[in-house]
Amino acid sequence: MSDIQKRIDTLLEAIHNWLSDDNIYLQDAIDQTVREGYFSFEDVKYAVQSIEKNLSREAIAEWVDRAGLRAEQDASGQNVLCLHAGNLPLVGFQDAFATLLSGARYTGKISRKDPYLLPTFLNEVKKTDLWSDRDVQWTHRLDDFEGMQHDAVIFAGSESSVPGVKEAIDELNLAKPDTDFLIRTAHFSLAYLDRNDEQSIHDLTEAIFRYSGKGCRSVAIVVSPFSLDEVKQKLTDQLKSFWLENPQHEYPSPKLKQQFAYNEAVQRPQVWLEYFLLQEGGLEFDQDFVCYWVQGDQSKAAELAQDYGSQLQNIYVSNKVEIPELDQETELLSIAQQPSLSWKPDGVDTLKWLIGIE
Amino acid sequence: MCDSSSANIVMKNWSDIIFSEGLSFREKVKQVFEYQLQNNSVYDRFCVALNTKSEILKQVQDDISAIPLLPIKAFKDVLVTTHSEDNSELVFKSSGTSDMQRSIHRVYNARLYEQSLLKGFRHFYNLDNAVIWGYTPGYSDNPHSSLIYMIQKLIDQDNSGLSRFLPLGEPVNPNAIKEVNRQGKQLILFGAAFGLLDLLEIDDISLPSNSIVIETGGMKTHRREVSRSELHRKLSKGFGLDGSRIHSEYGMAELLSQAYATGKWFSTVPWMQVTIRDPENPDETLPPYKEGLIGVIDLANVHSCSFLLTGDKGVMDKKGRFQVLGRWNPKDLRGCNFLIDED
Repeated sequence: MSDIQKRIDTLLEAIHNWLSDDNIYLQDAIDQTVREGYFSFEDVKYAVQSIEKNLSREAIAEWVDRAGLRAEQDASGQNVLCLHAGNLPLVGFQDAFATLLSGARYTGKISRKDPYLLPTFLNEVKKTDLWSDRDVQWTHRLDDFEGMQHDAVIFAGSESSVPGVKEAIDELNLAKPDTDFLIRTAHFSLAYLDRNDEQSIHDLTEAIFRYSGKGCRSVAIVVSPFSLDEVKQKLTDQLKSFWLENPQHEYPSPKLKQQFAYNEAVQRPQVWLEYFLLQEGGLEFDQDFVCYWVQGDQSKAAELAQDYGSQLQNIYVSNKVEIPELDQETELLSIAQQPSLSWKPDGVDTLKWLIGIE
Repeated sequence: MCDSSSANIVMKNWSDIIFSEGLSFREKVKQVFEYQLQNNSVYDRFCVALNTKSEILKQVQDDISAIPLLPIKAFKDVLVTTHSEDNSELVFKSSGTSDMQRSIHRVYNARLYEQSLLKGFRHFYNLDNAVIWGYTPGYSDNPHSSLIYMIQKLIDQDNSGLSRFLPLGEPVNPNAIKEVNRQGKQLILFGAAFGLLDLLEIDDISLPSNSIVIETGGMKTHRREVSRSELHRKLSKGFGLDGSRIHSEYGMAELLSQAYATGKWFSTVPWMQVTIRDPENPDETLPPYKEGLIGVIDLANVHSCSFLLTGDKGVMDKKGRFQVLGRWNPKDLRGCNFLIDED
């Protein structure tokens, strides 16, 4: 059996054990995460189920194939440092999984905002014969790794945060002069809504409001031939059911009410939802819990995609809709919050990048 | 409750009220607030969306800091006015390129702005003995710039003939400096940050030691950026002046009053008040030395909106003076963002 096949089998075994109903460690971690207020139970459950749904032997094989991972083209012997941000439950799972699949050794800085969930998966990996304590290491404090130089570093950042992170990496001697950095900067996604049937509005609701709208895959701009007013009723009805099942975990600051008042002042169409705001136009991205509605066609969506460039994570469409003159691939709106195992954050295939092809 | 009828209040001579030395600032603020709540539909809708009108009026009776501050971006989005008809005497626009959305401030009483800028300037400087130079484009080239209008009005006050806009891109005539000196006048030179630095690039200039250079901001352009302290150091060295002679002006198209810094901190004129607001809750005033958004009450804005929340970052000292620390950039929002201190 090839090394890659062994890794796939072992990862599947670890995943199976991790997600089994009698894994008390995961149950405890979920319990602690919810009890200590990091995330809501519904969001954690959703994140775990999303991984479960999208992780299969076929999905891994497809990824391996697409990325070109093979015996002579893998990351064996490499040390990869993953700095996990914790704005969503298990947001670093794909990076950890890709690192292990690539054959590299994994070093993880677990987020203080999501401290319990990912380690339960990593523990299952360590219980297997294939990966030892030396191959899979993690900590909640970056300085625990001081002096451990890595061949590659992965993290998500922004113009203002990247210099500070790089400085800390330098100070702690975590990188070599030729270390590769995969830094992601996309912050939000756009949906093109060409229909207002129940299913599409349901998908849009999930895409906007899941995880309090804080994920980079969350929709922050909707472009639609319909005005906000035309969709308002259906959307609020759908949202009521959504929030009944998934109460919003995080609440906005009073600044959001000020934005609502401002929209009233300038007579901008909006839907005020107490914990969230939908507004037509006025794209400022200066606060969370706001989703912007832009009335327009596919070309408007393409124009905005161009304008927001690297800040934009994904563009979602309903079935069979094409957006002309778009460089970026589109994804289905229905899977906005349930990405495939091999989805490409910032358009980069993490596995491909790790094995040095991308 | 509003005790004055709308008709009466419109007929008020606002200049007398705003610049009155007999009325307290608090009393003036209350009058202007009630007037604007009644007559400025944009501001009225803003306030009413936050609270009931009667509740706001009740709160303001006890505490003027309860007055809601309208985000200054409103001047970009709508017409902000207490007047139902467009009979403005002046139109000021914020600077920017043609494809940028610019703020538009319609001024219904040019005389009131003139009083504000002149009284404001006299509050800090001896205008009667000053020669004003502006190293900016002239008024005819920029009829919508409130700053250039202000400099023009200051120039107009001087009968000596020495005050003027300096031609851009040309060295300062040493004889003109000598003449100011000879007449025993004090030279006050206005200019934007990079304009003044560019002037120094053209030729060495040594100004009389009692001169004052007032920079009007603009420390960050798309090409260049300089900190205020670095700018002042360069201006001081370049003009051969003591550091204490380099002052700053804080003003904008949306405001009809200015603040001046004769040292590190800005002070306001008596009909203007600055507070530092919590960006996450602009209703809340922050304590001294805590950074936040600059909130302004400018009573000279009586015909537009006097209660404004700027997009500038600032900090205040215990004496009520403030510093401008650039634009407020909200924290990186949405999506993953690994932060050393938080993650």
